[in-house]
Amino acid sequence: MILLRDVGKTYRTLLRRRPVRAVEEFSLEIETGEIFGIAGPNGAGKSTLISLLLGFLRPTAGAVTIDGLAPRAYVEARGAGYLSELVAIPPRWSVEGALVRYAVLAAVPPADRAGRVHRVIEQLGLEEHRNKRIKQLSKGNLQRLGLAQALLSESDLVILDEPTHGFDPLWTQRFRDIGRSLKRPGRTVVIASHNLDELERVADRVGIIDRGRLQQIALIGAQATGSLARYRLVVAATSPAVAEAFPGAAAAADGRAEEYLVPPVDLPTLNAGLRWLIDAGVQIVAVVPERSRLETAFRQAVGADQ
Amino acid sequence: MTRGEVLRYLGWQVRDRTGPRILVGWLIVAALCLPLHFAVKDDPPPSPETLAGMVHGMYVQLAGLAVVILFHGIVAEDRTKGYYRFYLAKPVSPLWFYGQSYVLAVAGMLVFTAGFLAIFSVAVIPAWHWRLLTTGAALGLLIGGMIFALSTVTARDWIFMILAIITSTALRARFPSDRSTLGKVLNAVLPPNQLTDEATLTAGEWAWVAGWGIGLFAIGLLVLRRRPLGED
Repeated sequence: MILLRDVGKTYRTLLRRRPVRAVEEFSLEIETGEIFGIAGPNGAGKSTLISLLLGFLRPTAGAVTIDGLAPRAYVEARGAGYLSELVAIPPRWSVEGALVRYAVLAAVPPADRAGRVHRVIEQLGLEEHRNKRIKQLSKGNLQRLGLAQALLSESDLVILDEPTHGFDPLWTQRFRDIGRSLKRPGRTVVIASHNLDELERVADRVGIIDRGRLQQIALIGAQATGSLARYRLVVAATSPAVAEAFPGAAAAADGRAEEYLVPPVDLPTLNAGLRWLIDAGVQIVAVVPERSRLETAFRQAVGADQ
Repeated sequence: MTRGEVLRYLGWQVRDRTGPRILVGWLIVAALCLPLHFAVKDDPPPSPETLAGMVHGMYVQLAGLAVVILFHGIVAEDRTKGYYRFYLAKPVSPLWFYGQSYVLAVAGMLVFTAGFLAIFSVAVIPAWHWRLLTTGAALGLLIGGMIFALSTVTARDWIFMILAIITSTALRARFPSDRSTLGKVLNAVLPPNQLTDEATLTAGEWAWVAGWGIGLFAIGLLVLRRRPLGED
């Protein structure tokens, strides 16, 4: 379990007169076995938070523990599968050589090393690049290599900072499968991303942070049935029954006459309303979330709707 | 255990520390050898004492350059380029990782300078003396320790090392230790880099120089322990 208790991180330098508070009064519990997402606008403090989790930074207030240990002590004892936002690997190394080196440092047993390296090369589609130097890789391939080295160690702690940064749509889609496959008992996964859709598909919960503070924790999937979202409802023909089923529903200004915007409702209310419409003989063509639940929560948390 | 994994990584650290730097080293060696080569060919040739002095001077210069080439950026390069992030997310202690790198660099510097002496002895004039290597070892420990400690806090480690050496030398010249109390105090607290210019170090002098280097190395390790690499 990862525990953050009133954590603060303030940057002070000799040249900067005003201290910069990157993280403030941040308290959070991330359960073992959970995939926890971190979302936030640029400069919200996501990367600082991840550096605190890995012990690359020390908090200036509060405490961080992982399974009861200080982050550095935990990482030095057990290691972490970590992908940084910017993948930095010496440019002269080869792809396969880099993975072998990281496997050695990750304490992968010598007998398993070659197999593990081969597996991640295959999993991340790096076969044709295995003998290339790092400096010859495209941004997307470098990102895949970064992800490959994070997966090598099969650690109980996996921390991915913007894992699909630089990925093409195909690999963004594939990452969702990889992300979901990381979930297992005993493993804690933390994913920081700008991509809300990605987090919504992979994470169990998402912490939304802004200006260094945890603003809200959004539940995903089955846990989120109580949260509210707007929907776009398309019916076969205009009907006054829609406004009866969903008070406040109105024809979408940017769509056809048969398209309605349903005001924020939770899932049980949505389903009850749809059932009522079907019973009333209304033909339903489509029901589409106007925004994802996470996006709605995100916009509320960071005040983007105001 | 972190130490075991870092030890397994030793071969790659040797390659990273020496690989691209060795060519620079050999170019410098060639530049240093040429004047001596022509001096030996002079008619009449220099006296054995003059030649021994030239060899010693050249060796100290070479050893000093080898230390700078092998040690610069020993910690700072990983910090500034961000390479440490993947290394230290593994079960790796920065103390072992960079401590091992320091030991390797001292060993590499000795191998490099010993190789130079051996080749020079065969190609130009007999120059092999064990005392040169012991002086080189003391120099490697001292200057290497200085760069190591500086590298944990600044990216410009070798520049600050040169500034420290120049300052130390200037202060010693301005306040000689045999003339004032201030000179004695400065002599005690400043790094004893002047001793490495001497042809032969006594055991006490050697221990003083090496002790300084190991002390600075220990300070560097302490900084690594107290100040995470992600801190500015």
